[in-house]
Amino acid sequence: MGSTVASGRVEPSSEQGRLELMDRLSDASWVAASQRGDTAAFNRLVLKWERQVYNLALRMLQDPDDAAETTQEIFLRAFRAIRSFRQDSNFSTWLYRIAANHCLTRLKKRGLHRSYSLDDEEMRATIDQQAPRQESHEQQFLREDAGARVREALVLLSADQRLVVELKFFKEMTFEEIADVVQAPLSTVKSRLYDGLSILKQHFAQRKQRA
Amino acid sequence: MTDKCNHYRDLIPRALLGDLEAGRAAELEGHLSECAECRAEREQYGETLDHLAMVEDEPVPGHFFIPADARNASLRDLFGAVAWPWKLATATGLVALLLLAGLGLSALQFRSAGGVYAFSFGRPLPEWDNNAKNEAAIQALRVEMRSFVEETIQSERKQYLATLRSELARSSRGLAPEQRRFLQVALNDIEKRMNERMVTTGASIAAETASSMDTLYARLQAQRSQDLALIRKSITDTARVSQANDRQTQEVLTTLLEVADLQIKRGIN
Repeated sequence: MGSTVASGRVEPSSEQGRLELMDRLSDASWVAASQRGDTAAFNRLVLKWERQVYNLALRMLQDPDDAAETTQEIFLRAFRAIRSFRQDSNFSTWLYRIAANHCLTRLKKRGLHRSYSLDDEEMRATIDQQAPRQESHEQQFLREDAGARVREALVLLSADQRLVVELKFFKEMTFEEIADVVQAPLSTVKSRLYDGLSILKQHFAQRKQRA
Repeated sequence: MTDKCNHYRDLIPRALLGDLEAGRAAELEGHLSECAECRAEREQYGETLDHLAMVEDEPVPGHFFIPADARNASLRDLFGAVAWPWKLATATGLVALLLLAGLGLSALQFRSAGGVYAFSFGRPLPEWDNNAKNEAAIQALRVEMRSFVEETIQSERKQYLATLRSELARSSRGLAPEQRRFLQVALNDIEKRMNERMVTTGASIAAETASSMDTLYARLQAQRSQDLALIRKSITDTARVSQANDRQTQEVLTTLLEVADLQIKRGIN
């Protein structure tokens, strides 16, 4: 992970490519069993992908309890819709599509489906007030770590921008895969990503200045 | 910062993510080597990417396993799981289906009478014409009856003539050839008239079938009586005008008349 994430996927002939292929094969067999109603097989998929889905929900929704509840709903939805999955894409792409749609719906219901600018004083106040109030001792310690800093910054992005940033930097997907997940044209995906990056860059620069 | 800088600053994140063609990347590098502000911009983007790269996923608070009884998905869940274009298509399809069903029901006509059901979509139901149906059945019965009556009459006539011929042959054994020839001519004449009457009788019966069955039977009886009268008259006339009107011939003719009477009466009864 890092600034070299977009350097492209490794070739299947390499060791990492072989492992990826193994991953996909196991996904396919578990998916096939799940489509026959095998709950245990689906729970193997849950075990494999729950951390990625939970963290997507966490960074999208910014609330651990909400993220946990949403993750459970996402897997339940995925299980109930598994028969419609034709395996013409990766299981993860299909799962992320369900996760993304569910998170966006959740944000819309919460009324947070909006973008903020750094000049938005109300939003700045929200960020400054929210973090200390919700923190436990452990979280207070973690607040200064990278994850907390980034999560705090992600609030500044619109839900669509946040989702694209999530998929690009934390799920290491290509632009094409992201377009497949969010069901949007490639140009739209790139536009959302670079707009989001610009906001994040500005945020971190101002933070650095304040420090 | 110039307009030129704005242009290159848009390219910086693209270059960092490998989303810039080699030529434009080199062009950007050329500008950056000359512009300190844009280099600072690139540094800020680089730091932003570093922040993102340092993030590690949080551990899950607990597993999100699916319970064994989670199989039955509600329609609402399934609908919620599909992408919005499919939702739109499904909703449109359902609305179209409902409209079609509504139109179909509004155009549906149904009628039940006497254990017979009739349906129609769009077009009005034809008039429920019991009389027409009955009339058609009655007409078919009349045609059948007419055919039967015609066949019966013709059969009877043939039988009369055959009986007359047989009786003539039996009774005229002792007669002179001239007498036998006279009687033969008389019988041929009777047969010819009878055949002519068959044609007119058929038309007459056909006309009678337009009326009731009772009228038809009455017409049949009358026809038989007329046939009897015709045979009597033919034989009597033949005998009267004959030059061979002797006693023997008269006896034969009388016998023939009696036989014919018996046959006809038996047929009528």
